[in-house]
Amino acid sequence: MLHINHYYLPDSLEQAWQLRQKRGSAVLGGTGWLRLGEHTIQHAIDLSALNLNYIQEKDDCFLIGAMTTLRQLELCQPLNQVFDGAFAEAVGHIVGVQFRNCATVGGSVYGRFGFSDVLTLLLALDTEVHLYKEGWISIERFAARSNEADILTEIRIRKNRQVAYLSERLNANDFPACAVAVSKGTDGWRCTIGARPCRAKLVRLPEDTEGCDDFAIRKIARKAAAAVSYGGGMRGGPAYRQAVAEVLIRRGIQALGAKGGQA
Amino acid sequence: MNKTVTFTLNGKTVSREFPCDQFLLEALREMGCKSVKRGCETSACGLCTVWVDETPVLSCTTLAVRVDGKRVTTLEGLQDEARVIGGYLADEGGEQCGFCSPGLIMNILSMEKAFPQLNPSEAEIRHYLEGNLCRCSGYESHIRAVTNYFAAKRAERDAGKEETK
Amino acid sequence: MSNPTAKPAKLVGGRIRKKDWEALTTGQPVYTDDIAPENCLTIRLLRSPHAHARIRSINTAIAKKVPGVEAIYTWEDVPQRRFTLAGQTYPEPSAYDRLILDRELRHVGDPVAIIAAETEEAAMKAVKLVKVDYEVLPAVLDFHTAKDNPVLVHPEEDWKALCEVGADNKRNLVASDCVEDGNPEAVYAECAYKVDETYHTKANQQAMMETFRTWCQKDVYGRLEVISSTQIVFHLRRILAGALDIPKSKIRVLKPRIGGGFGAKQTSVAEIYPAFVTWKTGKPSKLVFTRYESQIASSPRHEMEIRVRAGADENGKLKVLMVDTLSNSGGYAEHGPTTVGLSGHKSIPLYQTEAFRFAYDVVYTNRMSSGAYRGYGATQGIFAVESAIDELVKKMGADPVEFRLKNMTHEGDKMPAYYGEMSLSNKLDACLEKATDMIGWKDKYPRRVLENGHIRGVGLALDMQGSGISGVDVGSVTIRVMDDGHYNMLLGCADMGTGCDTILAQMAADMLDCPMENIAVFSADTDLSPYDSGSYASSTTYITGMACVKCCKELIGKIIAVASGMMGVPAEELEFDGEKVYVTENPDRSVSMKDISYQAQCGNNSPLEATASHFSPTSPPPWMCGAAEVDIDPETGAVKVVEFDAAVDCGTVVNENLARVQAEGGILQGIGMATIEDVIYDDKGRVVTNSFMQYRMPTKEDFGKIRVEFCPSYEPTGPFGAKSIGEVVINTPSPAIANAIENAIGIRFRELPITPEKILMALREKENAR
Repeated sequence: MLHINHYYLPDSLEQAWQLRQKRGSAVLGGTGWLRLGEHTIQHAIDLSALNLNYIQEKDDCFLIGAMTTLRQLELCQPLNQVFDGAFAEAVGHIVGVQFRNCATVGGSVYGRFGFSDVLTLLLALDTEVHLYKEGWISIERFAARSNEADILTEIRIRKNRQVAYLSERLNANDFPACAVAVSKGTDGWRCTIGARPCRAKLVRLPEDTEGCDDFAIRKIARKAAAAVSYGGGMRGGPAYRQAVAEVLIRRGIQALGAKGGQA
Repeated sequence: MNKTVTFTLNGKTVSREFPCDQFLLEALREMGCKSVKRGCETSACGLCTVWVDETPVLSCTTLAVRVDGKRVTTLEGLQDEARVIGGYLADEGGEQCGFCSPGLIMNILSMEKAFPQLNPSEAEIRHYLEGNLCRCSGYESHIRAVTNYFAAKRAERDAGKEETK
Repeated sequence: MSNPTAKPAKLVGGRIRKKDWEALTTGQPVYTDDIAPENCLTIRLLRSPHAHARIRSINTAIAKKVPGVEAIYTWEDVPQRRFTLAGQTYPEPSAYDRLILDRELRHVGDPVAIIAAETEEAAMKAVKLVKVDYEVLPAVLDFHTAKDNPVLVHPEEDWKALCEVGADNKRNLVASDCVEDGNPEAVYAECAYKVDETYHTKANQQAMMETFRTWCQKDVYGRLEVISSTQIVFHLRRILAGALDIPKSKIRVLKPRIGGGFGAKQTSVAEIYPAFVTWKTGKPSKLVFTRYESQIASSPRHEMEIRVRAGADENGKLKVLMVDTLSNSGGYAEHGPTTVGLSGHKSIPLYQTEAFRFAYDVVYTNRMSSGAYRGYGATQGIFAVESAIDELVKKMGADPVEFRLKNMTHEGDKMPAYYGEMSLSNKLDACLEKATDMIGWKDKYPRRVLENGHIRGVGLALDMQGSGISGVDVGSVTIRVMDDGHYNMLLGCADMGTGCDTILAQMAADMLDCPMENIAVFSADTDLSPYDSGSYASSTTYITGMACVKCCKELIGKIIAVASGMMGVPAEELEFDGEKVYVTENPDRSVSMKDISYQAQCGNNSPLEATASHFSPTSPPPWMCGAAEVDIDPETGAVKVVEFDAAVDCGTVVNENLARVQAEGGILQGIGMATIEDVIYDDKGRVVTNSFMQYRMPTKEDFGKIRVEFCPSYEPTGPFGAKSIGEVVINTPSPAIANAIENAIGIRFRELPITPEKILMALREKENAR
């Protein structure tokens, strides 16, 4: 059961941050998982009044407010145009439209869930997370840390990478058994492997991935998939997850057009 | 801690005190909106779908205090619309036990906004309504009913256009 | 036997909306919880955290101090008379092995204490404050080791089996039996082609959208009123009277609209707790199971392991089928002795063989009790037998369609494994031809490789079910003439979304020559409804339907008798056409139904109403063929049923809409069982799939297309020629999909569900073995 002892709707980020410093405080995202298990939140902080619901397109990046819903990511045309539909693909399998109308980008990123499709995708991109006090930090660094008493206000996604998102699930809207995002940019290729089932991990792919033939791509994918560890769980054992990761990484590389292999 | 929340419920402004950990589902049922059903309590089934500002959401995991200043709509506020879609469902036998029907119909009605051309493809219907679980029907009757409903909606719109010409 | 359905059908066979459609689709408050009084005490159950334990001591003192707590009950407070929660006709085959609360706890989730409080919050608080000292006992978690295990799930001396089903609590046996016909071992030994394989089906949750729920109150006469989402109002009255140790006359059970059942609500999962609380406190009380509770302590499908031996000769003749089933009943016996029977009795008779054998053990384990789920053991048995038949066909190098056509049971065949019944109505051959046509079998069998590397395979399976329990199930219908020739129809069966209120009204309207609107349906209330076993075992259309036909005939006789008195014309010279009774030779002479109904209200000695009951000495099987096309990504193991085509012989199709949706819904549940669904336990006996996040079910995007056609036979013993449809539809997907997967990738899966992980790992193993 859920217990919330105090609920606040701060009208400034400063106020939200002050509240977050209290023991037992938590920021409310979409609250989709709040009903699971036993939680007691002393101080629940609702950012709804802080105008953090937006997707702004700039010349070189997108700025996405923490309270933007996953459904907005799914439907945002410029975002999906730039990233070739990867956002729609990554969030489109999450439960259903009603759920995605509630779930927020901030909640998904801040939660750093192992099963997170959103985090898996963002890690493959040039993404930064803005924390009210700490300022901008890379999502890679952010994802590696544990919860901090700061307020996640915004994420910034540079337009400098191409990305492909792939996942496998037991059924259409289940959590992924394996999720992979492969991306390439001027600084080379990388991929993230999520739902291992632990938190997504970033793996840098060899510099010469571009232009590889099918045989070489298979080798790269095998090596990349083997670079992270896998756990068990209901949605698949480690061997299955690694095998699927390898296939998805290969397909991701092929989709992004390393020549030689057929997609 | 309780909080007084003022919102519009099915067109009427209401002011009510909610415990700050009460979810909208229980709050609405207590307020007499029995069409809102609890199916799973883990945001997985879609039975509790209501609209907040015309957007379909899961009331089972929406905190009641968060609807302050918003418009909440349940099937109680859409009786005529429900009867029309209900007829299409019933023509296919698709309502069956009926327990998932209110949440499903709330979501079908929201498709009119998502598909302003009123022409969702079968794949789009399946995807949009994926979060509405039903254990009786096997879904095919839902797809037929929604397809027929939108065909009728388009015909209605086109007939209207003819008239205004 | 001549069919008593005299009149040509007008409404029967139509596509008619369900009578309750408008209330359901506009969200009216018509379900159990919607109509509960606001002042109900809320009930919560403290449940065992251990798979097997004995309560050393239990302290409720602190919990009782929580403000708002009305009462807390433990094993010391309840009657010490054992009973079963299985909704079956007395004497129940399921052993009496339950108490409302027991000192010995037999599965994780077994109730330890009942807490009743004014609010949910107080009840939940109190649950946490009940202090229990458990003596944790070794648990029987693997059903292979249950029989004759030194750990006994039911060691108690007052355990009782009412029927001879081979039960023995000192051996963890819920039931055990063996039947043979011919000389199966000898016939098998001589077969040129043999298959001897073992198949494993898992527990599945019915997962009806409305969880278990009941509320109770005392009526003005001090009787206990039980309002519950149940398929079995009359059995419930008996079960509760036994559990509470009070006279049956003190109990009234009503069912409002039901949010799905699929057999789950053929067990009294929730009712005993509020019934006990209200009986003790005199106050209304309510228990609504959370989804979590419905997933961990309910009545799922029996897990079964089934060994099939099938043998054929050189000429492609199936000579023998032997089925040996081990069934996991869990902590209690509910439906254990009966579900297992269908695993053989409704799989073997699909074929004509020289000999058969069917043997089984049903065992107690420390898992949640199993129950009734659509298909009721036939689903498990048919998965095994129809998989084995394909394996045999492969060995013989034969064709799966031709082999089946040659060996299947046809109309007029005797079925020794089906209690010697004759198949009087059977279009199974037409079903097979139709389903293979629908899926394009000739072009698609066995496999195709698509351009994207995916592999498509097709597979098929036959199946059967019954129509009611022969010689046992009773259906009854009361019809009363209202004013103006309108009728009240009182039913004791339970429309749980299936639409039986509507189809029975269709039958009544056709019999009484009136429009649907003239039949007002009421169901179900043990005080008002005529006795009905309840809606299970695919009985309602066939059994209660025939009661409806009989009732209408009797009522017409009474209507004519009243008219005869009014007109002074002998009844034999009169006829009834729905609107009036007229003289056969002189149709202009007539009295209207309006006048007849008023006559019955004025100076009349006999009520213008009829009640008829019906049972059937036989249980005519509906038949079906299901054909699946699967798409497999051989690199990831991902599998999707892209098409499932089914042809069903359910006798006369009473309502095409409702029959079709029964079929489509059952097929998708079957697809779920085959590819996704699994009640998974951890090594401590705790259910891991304890929510819809973890227990996955098919969504609208998990299959391509389900298509259903009917090949109606005419069942001479059924109303308007009808048989059942509710259960037969769930049995073909598992074997058809397993067969399709083998045809696609050459790997046989004998355990369900067949998940992407299993497929991929098997493909890898096959590759490595090369």
